[in-house]
Amino acid sequence: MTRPVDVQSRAALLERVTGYVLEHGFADLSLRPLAVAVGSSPRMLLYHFGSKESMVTAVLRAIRERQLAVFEQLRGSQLPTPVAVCKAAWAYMTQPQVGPMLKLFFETYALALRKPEAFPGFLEGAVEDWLAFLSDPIGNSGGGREEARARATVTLAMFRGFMLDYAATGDHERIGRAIDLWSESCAQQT
Amino acid sequence: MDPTAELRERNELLERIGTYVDQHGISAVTLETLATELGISAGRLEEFFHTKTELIVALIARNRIALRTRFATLDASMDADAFRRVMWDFYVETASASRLFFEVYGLALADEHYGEFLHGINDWLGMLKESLTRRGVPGDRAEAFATLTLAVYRGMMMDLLATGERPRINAAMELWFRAATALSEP
Repeated sequence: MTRPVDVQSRAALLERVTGYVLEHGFADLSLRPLAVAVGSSPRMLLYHFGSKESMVTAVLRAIRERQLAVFEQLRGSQLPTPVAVCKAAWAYMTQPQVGPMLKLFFETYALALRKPEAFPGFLEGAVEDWLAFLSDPIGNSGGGREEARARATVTLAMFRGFMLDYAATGDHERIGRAIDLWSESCAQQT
Repeated sequence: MDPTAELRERNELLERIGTYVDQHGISAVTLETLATELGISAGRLEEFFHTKTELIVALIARNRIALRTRFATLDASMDADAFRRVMWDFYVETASASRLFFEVYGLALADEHYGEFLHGINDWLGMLKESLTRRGVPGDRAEAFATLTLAVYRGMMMDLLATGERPRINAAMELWFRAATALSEP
């Protein structure tokens, strides 16, 4: 059984490791420089996480939990339409402090497409968590579950494409106009 | 060696490199292992591609040309809806090119050596915009429409590569085709 003090120090360590990963990515992650940066040692990291692989899993889970918390927040504000959700998500994602998370997301996505087993749950979360979130408000506007998921799939694809464009070009204005155009098309449908 | 033969050899090499990278991913590739795989000396390979970065950029450029060529050929001969569908089929057929695109994109965000790649990331946004303008979509709207289209295709490919859930994604594309047709009307 783990002692409470261990649980606490593991949580604090995970927080710092997650911060490091957000800055440096997963691609060249190795224990030694990581340990130095977070003021620990490779031995302590292994003591707390068991292996590098389970540490990666723990970091992914921590990031996913942060994401789900943001969803909760957006849901709590009772956004009525997919357009409103998309605009709120756009406003959130383009904040400077979210930049590292965005970069890490795309980097990990690419690595996981190649080697899904190294990033357990990542791809499922990257699609399913979002579809569940997006098909919720959309489902309210009628239509069956399949229909709601198809709509959520379009919204997700668009949003992801916008973020990919944004992370590369930073062209806030052009992408903003594209979002407006899409809002217009959604308004016509209803 | 005459320049034509040189170019032909480069293209042949690039073709085989593409197949190898497609199977193994780019992070595993080094010029040495690649030379061994191709049965040529590392020195010879480096005459064509000085660094791994240069090689990856060349692979991406090759895929971009394939996409643009396909685009230009079809755009001239089809109505807008048929054209959107055929382009989507082309994306799905060449899913490995998209995967490479996302891999390099991930690298490029972290590594400035791939800056060229990020600069060229929207190089066919212009073509798309032009095509929409030709089909009667007003200029300012055409750029937003092109941005939207590109986002949808890329996002759908990310989803498809991750989940392989064709029925859901096909249903979503039908919704998009319908929305795009509505958006094209003045």
